[in-house]
Amino acid sequence: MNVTIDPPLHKGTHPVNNDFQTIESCAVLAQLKDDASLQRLIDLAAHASWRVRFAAAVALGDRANPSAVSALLNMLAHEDSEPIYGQAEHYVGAPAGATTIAATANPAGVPEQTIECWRRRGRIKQAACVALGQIGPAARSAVTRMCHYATNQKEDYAVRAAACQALGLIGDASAAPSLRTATGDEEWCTKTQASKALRAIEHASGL
Amino acid sequence: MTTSATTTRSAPGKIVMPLFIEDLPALRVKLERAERDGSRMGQVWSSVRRRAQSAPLAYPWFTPLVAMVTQTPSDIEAAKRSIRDYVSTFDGQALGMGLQFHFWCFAFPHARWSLYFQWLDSLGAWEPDEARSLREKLITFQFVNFFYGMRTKPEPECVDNQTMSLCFSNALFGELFGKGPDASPTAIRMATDGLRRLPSMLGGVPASGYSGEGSTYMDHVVGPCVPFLVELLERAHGGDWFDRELPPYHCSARAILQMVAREWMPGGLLLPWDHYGYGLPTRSAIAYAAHRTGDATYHDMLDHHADWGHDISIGWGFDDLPWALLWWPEKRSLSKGKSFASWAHHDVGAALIADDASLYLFQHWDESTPHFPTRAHVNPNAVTLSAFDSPLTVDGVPGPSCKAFEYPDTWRVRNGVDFNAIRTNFGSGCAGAHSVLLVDAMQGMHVKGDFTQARMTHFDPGERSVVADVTPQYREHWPDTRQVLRKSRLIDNKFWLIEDLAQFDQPHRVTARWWLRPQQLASPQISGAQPGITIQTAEGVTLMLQPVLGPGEPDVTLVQGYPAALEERSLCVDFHQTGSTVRWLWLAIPLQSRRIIQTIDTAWAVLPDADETLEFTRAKELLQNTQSNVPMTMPAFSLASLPVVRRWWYRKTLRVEPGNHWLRLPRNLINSALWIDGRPQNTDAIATLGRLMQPQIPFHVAKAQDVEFILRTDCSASQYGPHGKKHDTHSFWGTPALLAPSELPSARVQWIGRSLRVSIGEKTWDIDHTELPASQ
Repeated sequence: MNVTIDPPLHKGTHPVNNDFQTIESCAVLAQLKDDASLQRLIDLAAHASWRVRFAAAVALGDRANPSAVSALLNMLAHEDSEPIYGQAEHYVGAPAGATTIAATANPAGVPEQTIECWRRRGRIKQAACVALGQIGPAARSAVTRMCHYATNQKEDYAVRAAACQALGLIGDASAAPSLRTATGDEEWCTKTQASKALRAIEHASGL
Repeated sequence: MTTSATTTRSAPGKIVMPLFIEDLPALRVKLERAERDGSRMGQVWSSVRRRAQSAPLAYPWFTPLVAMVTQTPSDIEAAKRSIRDYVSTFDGQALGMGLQFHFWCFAFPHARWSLYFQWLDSLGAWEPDEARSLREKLITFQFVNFFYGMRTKPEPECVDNQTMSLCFSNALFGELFGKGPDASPTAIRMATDGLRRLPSMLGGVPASGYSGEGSTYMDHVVGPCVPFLVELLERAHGGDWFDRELPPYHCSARAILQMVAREWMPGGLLLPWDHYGYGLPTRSAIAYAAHRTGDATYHDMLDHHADWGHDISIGWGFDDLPWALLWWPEKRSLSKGKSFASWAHHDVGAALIADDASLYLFQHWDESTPHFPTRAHVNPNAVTLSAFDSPLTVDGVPGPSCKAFEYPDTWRVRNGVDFNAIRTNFGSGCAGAHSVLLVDAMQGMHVKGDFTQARMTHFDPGERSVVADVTPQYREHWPDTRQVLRKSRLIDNKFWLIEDLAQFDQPHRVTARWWLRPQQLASPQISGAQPGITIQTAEGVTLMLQPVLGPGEPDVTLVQGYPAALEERSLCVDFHQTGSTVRWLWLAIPLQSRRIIQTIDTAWAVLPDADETLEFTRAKELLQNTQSNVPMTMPAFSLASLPVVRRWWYRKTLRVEPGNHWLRLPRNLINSALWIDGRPQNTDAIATLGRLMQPQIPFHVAKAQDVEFILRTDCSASQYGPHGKKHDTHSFWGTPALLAPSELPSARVQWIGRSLRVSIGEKTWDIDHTELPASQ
C-alpha cells in the first residue's frame, strides 16, 4: 500500500484528484490505533468535500471509538441544516451504464454547493448512523436523533434503515417505541432493520 | 490481428491479467475457429465483432471483448473511448433518480466498465496518467454510490438481485484495485464487506434456486451475476464455489443456474413467473452453466433455442453477448440432455412438458411476499399454458392505462424511494390477476402473515402429473377453509386435465379464473363437456378449455391493457360455483390450426436505407438489382459486411399454391411495412405482439403463382438512443416461413365414474382419473 495522508504533488497531464488521495488516507487511518490518527479522521469529518466527509464517517465507524461520537453528531447536525433533499425532480434520465447522457447544465439559479448537496443526499447521514451503531452503547447520546431519523418519512430510506440499525447496536431501551413505529415502514430495508433492532433491544432488556 | 501473450506488461514492474479471461489466446482461437466453422457461436461472435468494429459508438458494450480478442489498435482505441465516455457521465448521473434511488442498477454496470478498464490495462493500453485518473474516478464513484448502496441492504436478511449486484461490485473492486504495490485502501475496504457477503448471496437464495423475484430478475440479473460471484469467490478463497451448497438455505450456484434454465419455455420465451410476465431470456448464464457442467442441455439451449437477436441488458448493461461468448465452451460432453424436461420443486412449482416440447404447463405455488407482493406474486396453483410455442394463458403487469387491478385495498405510499412520495397499487400482484381460484370475489387476496403457504403433495414425472395444496393462503382469509388443491396432468403429450377442489365448512362463492389470450371463438368445442371457452392465439393455436365436472358457463371480459405485452389485452374468464365443496375437472385441448409449408429464411435480397427516405417503388427497383442476398433471420449487418444502419428493405419471390396463407416473420421487427405482390399489408400485429412472438401475416392467393414479398423494417442499430436515453436494443431474430391452414379435428369426451374417454379426431384415450379426495 502506498498512500500518503496528505495529497502528494503530482506532475502530469491529468489533474490530481485531491479528494481521492484524502479518501484513500481515510481508509488507511481507519486501520490505525493511535489518538493522532483518530484526531485526523475527526478533523476530516469536517472536510470541505462531502466525499471526504463520507470516507471519514466510514473510517470513524471502523475505528468504533467513542471519542468520535460528538464529531459524528456534528456531521449529522450539519447535514440536517443542508438542502440535501431539495431536488424536486430528476434532471438526468439516462439508463445505468450509459456512455452518453444529455448535457446537464446545472438547473438555473442553483448554486454548485446546492448541487453537491443533491448529489450526496443521505450518504453522509447513513455513514454517520452506521458509524454510531458500530460504536455501540457508548453512542447513547445519539439515540434521540436516531429515533427521529428512523421514523421521519422525509428522510431517504437509506437513512431510516441505517438509523434503525444503529439503534439496535446502541441497544438503548428508550428507542423501542420508535423502532416499533419503524417496523411499520412501507420500505423493506427500514422495516427489516427496525424489526431486527427491536428484537435485539427486547432481548437485551429481557422483554 | 496480433497474437500477444495472455499476460502483458502495462507499466514497468506491473504484470496484470485480464480478470475472468483465463486464457486469452485460447479465447481468440475458440472464436476464430467458431467463425470459420459457421457455428452458432461463430455467428454470434461475427455479429458482435462486426457491430463493434463498424459502429463502436453505437455498441460500446461490445468494444472491450473485441479489443481483447483482436488487439488491433482501432479496436483498442474504440474500447478506450467507451470507458472514457462512461466515466464522463458520472457528474450528470448523480442528478438522476436512477443513481440516487436505484443504485444497484448502476453498481453492476459500473463493475463491468471497471473490469473492462482493467482488461485494457492488462494490454498496456493506457498512458499512466490517464490510467491513474480513470482509476481514481472509478473507485471514488464506486465508494460514494455503491459502497453506500450496499450498506442500505440489511445483512444477512437481504438476498436479491439488488444486493447481489452491490456486493459483487464492491468485492470486485478489491480484486481490480486492491492488490499489488498500488493497492487502493478504499478498494480493499469496499471488498472487505462485499466479499464477506458474497457466499450468502448464493446460499441465501432458497434451495430451489429461485430467488422469488420473478423470472425476469432471475434471468436478467441473478443468473448473469452468478458466474461473477463464483469466479470471484474461487479467486479469493480457492476451491469449488459452483457446486458448494452454502448456508443458510444450502443453495448453490449450480442450483440457481439450473433454475434460470428452467425458466426458459419452449419457443424461447421466459416463463411469466411473478412480475413482468413473458419476456426474452438472456444467454450468458446458460453459457456459464454449459462451461461448468458440460451438460448437453445447456449447449442445446444456446445452439437451438436462444434468441440472439435481442440485446436485453444483463444487470443493466448490454454485454450479455460478450459474456456468453466468453463463457461458452467449445467442447461438448457426451452427456445427454433435453432442453425441456418436466421438473418439480416442492417449494415453487412444477413444469409438465411434452416429449417434443410442444405442450407446456407450469403450475405455480411459490411463496408470495407478505403484505406487499411486489415481485413475488400471489399465484396459488396458477397455471401457465403454452402449446406449439404459442402462449395460451397470460400473466404479467398491466399497461399504464389499465385500471383493472386497482383494488381499493391494495394501494400503498412509499417515501424516500424517489424524489417525491410514490403511490402505487400492487393489485396486479394479487390473486385476481392470476389463473387461480378466487373466493367470495376477493380479487385483492394477498398474504398478510408469515407461514408456509403451499406444499406439493404429488409429482409423477412419468405420468406427468402434479398436485399442490395451497390451503394456508386461503385459510388466512377464510378460517373455515378445509383444503384448496389443484392437480394438473399432461396426457400422452396431447392435452391437459386440470382438477380443482376447494372445501370449506360453510358455503362460499368460488370463482375459477382464467387469463387467456384475447381472441375468443364460438367453435370448435369439445363434445360432451360443459361449454367452457375456446380461444385462438395470433399464432393460430386453438385452445378448448371446458369443464368435464363443474359448471361451465363463464363470464368473459375483454381486459384492455393487460398484460402490457403480446396483444396488450386478454380475456378474463370466470367460472362460478357456490358450495362448501367445489370441484372442477377441466379438459384443455390445444390444436394447431396452421402448418408450416416451408421455411424461407435464406437468400433474401437486401437493401440498406441509411437515410430512411426510400419509397416502395424505388426500393423495389433497387432490390431487383441488388447483389446482396442474406438470410432474413437477423439484421443484415450482423450477418455480412454491410453498413450498420437502422432501416432495411428485403425482397423475396416464392411460388405459392392457391388458398389462404400466412407469412411468418422474425420477431422484433420495428416500424415494419409489408407488401405482398405490391399490396401493402396490415402489420399492426408486428408492433407489440411481434416483440415476443413471430408475427404471422395472412394473405390469400387465388391461383398458383409466384408471389413477391417486400418487407421494410427498422432494427436496432445501437445500444442507446440519443443522449444515452433508453433505446430499443432488440434486433430481429427468427426463421421466416410460409404457413397454410390445418383442418381441426373434432374432439369429444365422456366422463364415466373414475374414467374419461377423450377422442380427438381418430384417436381415443381412456384415462383413469381418481378425483382429488374430499375431506370428511
